[in-house]
Amino acid sequence: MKQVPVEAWAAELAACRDAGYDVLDMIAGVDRSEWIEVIASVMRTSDAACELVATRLDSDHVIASITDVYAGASWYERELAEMFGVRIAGAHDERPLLRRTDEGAPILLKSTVLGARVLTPWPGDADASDDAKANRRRQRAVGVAEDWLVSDGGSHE
Amino acid sequence: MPSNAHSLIGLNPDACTSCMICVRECPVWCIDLASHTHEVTEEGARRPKVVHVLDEFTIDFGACMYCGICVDVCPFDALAWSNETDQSAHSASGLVHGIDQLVKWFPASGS
Repeated sequence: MKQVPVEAWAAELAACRDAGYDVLDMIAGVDRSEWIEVIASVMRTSDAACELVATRLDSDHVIASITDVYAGASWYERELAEMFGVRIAGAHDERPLLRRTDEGAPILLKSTVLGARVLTPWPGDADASDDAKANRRRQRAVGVAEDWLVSDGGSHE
Repeated sequence: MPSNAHSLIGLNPDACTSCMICVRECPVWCIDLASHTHEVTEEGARRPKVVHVLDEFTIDFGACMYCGICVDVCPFDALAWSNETDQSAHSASGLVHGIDQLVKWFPASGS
């Protein structure tokens, strides 16, 4: 995987295209908690070679559009904008991709509380044995913040 | 189908101890489990032994993303990949399968 500074993102992908990587496989965002990483996967159809290009976004979460390098990038850039709150610089399609509006917090950020996870009772919270719940430690779902779990109204702890 | 294909997950209820590890590790919360405890007095034992008896075990294959974490974390190999092909249903609730169906998908020799 090739790590490039965010300023070199578009230039690096243009270099990939010029090196024969003719297909943009995908662009993915990863919330690393302290920063957002953006990874592009490109492929060369002649010999099935693959290359990964990664960059780390600054705190302003802006990345240059590469739709003029790979036309198919638009879909993934809309996804980055919608799911990770990344701002795309340059000419790009601003329509929401899967959500009807761009309102609300970007849903793939770890800091975003997902409504369904709050409203749905976690199956792991229920004690396996109904008649032995007295001394069991209360558990919570992996990766779910403590205050996400809503109590069922009772103050039985 | 390739040998490493992920299709369905089968359950061996006799091996399951209702420990809840799979339920708690499932990232999409698609497993539900219910059990009760039962005291067994063994010959010569000082105290009766408490055993968990599995009452219900369901996997919602509409929510399952086939990651296989439940299969990996089960300490008793009670869950295993099945080579059966994916099932279809007329409604989302039809993709929720309980013990009766899951046991049929548990491979005979394990996997």
